[in-house]
Amino acid sequence: MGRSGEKGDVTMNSLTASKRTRIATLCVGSFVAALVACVSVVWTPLGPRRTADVANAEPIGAPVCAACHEQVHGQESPAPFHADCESCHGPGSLHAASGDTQLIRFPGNDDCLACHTEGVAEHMEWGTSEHARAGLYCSDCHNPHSGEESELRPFEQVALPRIDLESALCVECHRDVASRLKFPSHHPVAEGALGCTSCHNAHEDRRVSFGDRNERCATCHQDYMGPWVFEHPPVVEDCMTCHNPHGAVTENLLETIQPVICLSCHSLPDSRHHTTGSSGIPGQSTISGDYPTAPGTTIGTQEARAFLRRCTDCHSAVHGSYTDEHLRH
Amino acid sequence: MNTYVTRAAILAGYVLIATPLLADDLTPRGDVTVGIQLYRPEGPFERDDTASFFDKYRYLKNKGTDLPFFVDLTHLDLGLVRDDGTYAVRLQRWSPGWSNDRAELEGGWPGVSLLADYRRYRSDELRLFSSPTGVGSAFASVFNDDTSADDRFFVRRTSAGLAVRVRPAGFDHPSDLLKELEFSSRYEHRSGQRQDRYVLSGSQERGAGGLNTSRFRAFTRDIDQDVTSIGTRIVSTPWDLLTSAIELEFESFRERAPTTTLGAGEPGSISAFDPVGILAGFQDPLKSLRAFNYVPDTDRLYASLRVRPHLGPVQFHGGASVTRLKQAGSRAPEQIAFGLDDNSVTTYSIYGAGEFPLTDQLALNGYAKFWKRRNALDSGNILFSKDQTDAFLEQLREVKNGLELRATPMAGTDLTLGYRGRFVRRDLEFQKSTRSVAPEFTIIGEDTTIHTGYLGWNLRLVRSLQLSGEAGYENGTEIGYPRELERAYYAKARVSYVLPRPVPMTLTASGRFLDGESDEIELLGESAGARRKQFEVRRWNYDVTLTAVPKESLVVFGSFTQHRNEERFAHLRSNIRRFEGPVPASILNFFIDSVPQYESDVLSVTLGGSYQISKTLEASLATTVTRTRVDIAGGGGAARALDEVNQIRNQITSIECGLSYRATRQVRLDLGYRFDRFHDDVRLEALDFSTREHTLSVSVTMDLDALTP
Repeated sequence: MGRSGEKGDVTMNSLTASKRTRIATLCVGSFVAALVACVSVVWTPLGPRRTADVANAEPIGAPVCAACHEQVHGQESPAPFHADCESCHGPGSLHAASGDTQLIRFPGNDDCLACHTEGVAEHMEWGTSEHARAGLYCSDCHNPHSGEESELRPFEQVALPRIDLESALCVECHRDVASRLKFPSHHPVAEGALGCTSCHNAHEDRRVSFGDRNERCATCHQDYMGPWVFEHPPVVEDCMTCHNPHGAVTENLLETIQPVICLSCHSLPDSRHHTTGSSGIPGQSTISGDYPTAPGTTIGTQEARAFLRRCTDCHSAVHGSYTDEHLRH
Repeated sequence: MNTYVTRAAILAGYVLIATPLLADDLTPRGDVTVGIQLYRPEGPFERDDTASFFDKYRYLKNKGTDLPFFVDLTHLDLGLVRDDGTYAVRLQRWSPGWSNDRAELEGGWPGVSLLADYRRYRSDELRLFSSPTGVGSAFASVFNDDTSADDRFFVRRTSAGLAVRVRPAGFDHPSDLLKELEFSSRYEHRSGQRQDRYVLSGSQERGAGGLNTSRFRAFTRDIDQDVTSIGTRIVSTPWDLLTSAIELEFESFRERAPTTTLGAGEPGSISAFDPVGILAGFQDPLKSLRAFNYVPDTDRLYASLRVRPHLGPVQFHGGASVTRLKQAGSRAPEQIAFGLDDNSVTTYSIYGAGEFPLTDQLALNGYAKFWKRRNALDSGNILFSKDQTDAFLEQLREVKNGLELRATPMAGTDLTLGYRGRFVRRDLEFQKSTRSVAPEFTIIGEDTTIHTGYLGWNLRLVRSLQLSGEAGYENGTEIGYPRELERAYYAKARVSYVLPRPVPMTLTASGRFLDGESDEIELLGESAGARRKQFEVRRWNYDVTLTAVPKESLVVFGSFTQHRNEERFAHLRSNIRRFEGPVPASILNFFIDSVPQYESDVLSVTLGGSYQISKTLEASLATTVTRTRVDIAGGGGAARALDEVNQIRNQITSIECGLSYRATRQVRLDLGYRFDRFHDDVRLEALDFSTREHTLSVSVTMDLDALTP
């Protein structure tokens, strides 16, 4: 940041190097602090998750497992369809004899998919999906020891009081999304009207999803999809050029408020939004030089009024129009 | 749709399916919660004709009465369970508030499964502009509403869907060619009202004697939309060599609300409810056909094929799809007058993705996707060509690809070195009309080429500690829009740590960072030279969440998040409009008006805990505060004006406490109080949406499991 020199370039040096350094220091410092905290306290390492079979182990039967494992993940009695522990965990004789967690196997994703063949089409992309590449197991989201869905931790209930249980599970990891759902403008996930899975498929490879992201938005917002006579090209390409679907500081899920988001692409002609012609700044002449060489004069209420009138109040057909090339209606 | 009829229909559906099953050895399971909520809204928004901040997402019926209330079966779970613990049939319904409920009915039998659902939700819009033009604050009194000053703007969505999946194997007729067959259908109705805002332009539309201050207008328009879809999916596994899925879907969208035109006084036209006579004397017959915010009816047809060969340790899947969105049903009045055929847009996708193990510790992951969008608009039609100003995007082609090399040096740990590419080609057409923007004055580029290199990591060294993240650099050699980034650094990381003793606790933290810029888009003035649309952005956020269990009966928690977005850009002005140059009489030049710097900062804190007072009594208390600030700084007139009227300062506070008492094995009583406050600290009083709301809730939950012997 901070280029200057060539005619027409802008000097943008407010986001200074020192500020950047502070942010970087904060990030690195936080990371180091977290690491130090981790290694400086007394913990009980549980070891890596073993998914390979244990050689020479023999089956012992679920009642033997239950002798020690009175509760499994809070479940006193696992659902009957998952009650045979060794079907998934493999023979447990060596683990039962020693208590060594390295001598029992934990089911991998293939173990689950070996039986759960129904709905196989939903899992076709799982092998290269974001969640699979992030190292997630089925059991990170699905609780095989219970027939019930997992419960929402109590602290979320105040900020996301009506969120559905599936979404509650998602935001356990996707904390940045959880916090966006509390923004002044958001999709009504916290209110229970939508869930994460209304738009996302946890098993898909998002990189190669069919169509584009707009087709996903179109499943609920058909009235913005046209086809139009007069289009707004960035709208055609990606709704998220302007919108953040999880949450935003201003109305209509706009990533940045109006008119800033519009002006960051568009230029304004003097004769329409500024000085001459119709509404404009009294006393200010047509622009003839760059800021700061030729700064503008005092702000008039006309210009301020134009900026308060969100661009879409006049250009209300911002998603497309059958009537007006300027997308006014 | 009458809600009581809907509830009865849902229950009747359940009884219809469940009753014959009672003869089979099935066990009832579930619970029923009856709840009542009493509300006390405060402030200027306690009237029924005005939406408050909280009404946007939580509609409150009859809030203008002394004690608005809501009573319903807030949760219903009725199921019949087999001996193996699986459900034969299950009905669930959630009803957290007025105009917000959903229900699901699931059934599963050998070879057949069924899922039916019903949803209803209403969302409201905040009303900003209601004063007549020219009255009140110079900033807020911008728009008239020519039809009614007391309308609320909202949309209510009611939908129902049904999916039936058939598996021949369940009928003892296994078939590789027909593993699964699924039919689905869905219907959604949207009703409500919206405020359509528009500006009259030109002396003709203003009419004789019309004032500039009367140009900014609005009217209330009905929303009456139907969306109907049907689809099918066929899954095959021929000879167990591959799994394939063919999907077909058809969707019909219809807007039933009448189209409003500028008109010449006839019903359904703007001029018919022209309150101040600004359209008096309006004569242009063609312009009278102009439809305001016309929404086209459409049919959408979607077809896709996906294939996953069974290749052992190699993961691969690929597919192709086509979607055609075509105008159907109604046409815009101007469209009929100019003889423009139905519009259509077609998109095509082809992709392949795979993961190939190289050794026990190395794997290669790659993908490629081609996407194309073609707009079949008859751009030669005079409706388009007489007015078109900017470039027409006839065709868009995009290729995305990527390659990752992943190393897994030990179990639970992997490191990834990767590349992503994005290539976009836009076929732009210029000069369709005499008012067209010349290519040198457009802000759209024909090509986008962005290369990204990154390093990722997932570390599960021990099960107590998980570290994951990714850091990379984007290099955009060509960009299509000023907000696309030519150069950007990004990083994201997450850590989760479980401490089993001395105090069991879970600590999670995550963060994201992006710093990017671009200046390739250039507007070439005729005598003053080029000005670049420079854009810079820095976004970062982080969160820290701690949950601890100091005693078996006590759980405490806290979380803190911050999101920050900083943008800087060159705000350009031109002396004349872009499509007015270049002509000999008009020299078009661009200048930098100012360099606005936009900053948004959102902080959110949540604290609370729950305490098990006795075996039957539990108390909970929690609070959350979200604070939002938006500022626009920077030199120049525009930046100062933007900051003057677009600052955001608000705070959302919620406090909730509750007592839960298990009266018997079957019955639980819950008592709760919730306080919500939205504090709006804007400079302009007319835009102040501050409001407060108290909610007292009582509910009784009956556990059906406990009733069974």
